[in-house]
Amino acid sequence: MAAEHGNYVCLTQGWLKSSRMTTLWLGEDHLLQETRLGTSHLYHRFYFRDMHGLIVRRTGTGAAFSAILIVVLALLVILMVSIGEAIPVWLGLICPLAALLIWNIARGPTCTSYVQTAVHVRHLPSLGRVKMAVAALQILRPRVTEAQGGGSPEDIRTAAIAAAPTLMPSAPGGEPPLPPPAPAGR
Amino acid sequence: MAGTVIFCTRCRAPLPAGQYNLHRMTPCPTCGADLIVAAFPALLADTRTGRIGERVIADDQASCFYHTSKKASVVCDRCGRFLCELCDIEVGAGHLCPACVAAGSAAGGETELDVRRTYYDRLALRLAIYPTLITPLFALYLTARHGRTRNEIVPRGQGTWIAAVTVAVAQILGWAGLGLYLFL
Repeated sequence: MAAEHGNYVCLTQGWLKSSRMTTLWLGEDHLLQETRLGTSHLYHRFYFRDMHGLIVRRTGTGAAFSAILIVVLALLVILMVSIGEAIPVWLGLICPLAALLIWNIARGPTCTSYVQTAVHVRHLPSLGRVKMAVAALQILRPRVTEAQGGGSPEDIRTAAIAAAPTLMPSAPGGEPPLPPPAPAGR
Repeated sequence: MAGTVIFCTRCRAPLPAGQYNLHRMTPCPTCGADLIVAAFPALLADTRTGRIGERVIADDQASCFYHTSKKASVVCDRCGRFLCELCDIEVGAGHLCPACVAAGSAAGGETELDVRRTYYDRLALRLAIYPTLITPLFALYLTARHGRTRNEIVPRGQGTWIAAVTVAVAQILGWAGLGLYLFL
């Protein structure tokens, strides 16, 4: 999955979303999100030391797309069988759609991924499949942990559970809680 | 210990700490969305401790260029000005002052600060594809002008340049052939 280019390693291949192509690159101490806008490329950096969390939420987009493809394919097959003529023409329509369906199923369920820092939550459009997001997380986690000098994921969970009463926004009698950061970039 | 919590990205409700780092999909207790929540050590760090800059105590102590009452703690790697903790901006492994950051960002010279780059190979390809006589010439001009410039943050191949030149030359030859056919 990762292809090396100079100081950056390509973490994900971009996928077309709202005419924007985004790619995630893994740097020495940060994650670089590259967004293509026509002839320009926009860059957004997420430094490992600043990352608080990565949230992957499963969506139904891929399943809905598969369902639509299955319905269309079923209609085409029914029409082909009922008409019974020009079979190669029908197959020329059915085969690309079937290949698209297989490709969509093979890529796995869709998701939206967000990185959370102390001050914002940012959408990562290139992590659009659960498989891809999990693989990226496996690459990211040791680097982020090393940059932040923390312990294992289990230690963090245990510490977070222990600190839960003092964590915002439920800190009793402390400073007023900060509002939850609004997801940006989406 | 102060810190923040991780929020569900659909309902924006705070997620329970027991849901962190489980390495599998778990439902949000509020909205039921399936989530994988990865929490990193910085989540539990004390985020309310900001840098304030230490005050100068003795007259002979080095002070910040921008805040003369603050003690200098680091030197700007570009201009050499003394900086206090407030003015120190860490860029990669180095330290810069706000003025150098602004100058570097405006000039596009500091890769770490770049947020936008224009790639002329894509522009050349678009011009080459556009079906006029003039635009392929512009595409060839762009190739000659910027073809050897390596300004990319993320290294890229030469494929787009090659495609632009190929299409531009093909289109110019096509126009020339059409002209010869029509007028000779």
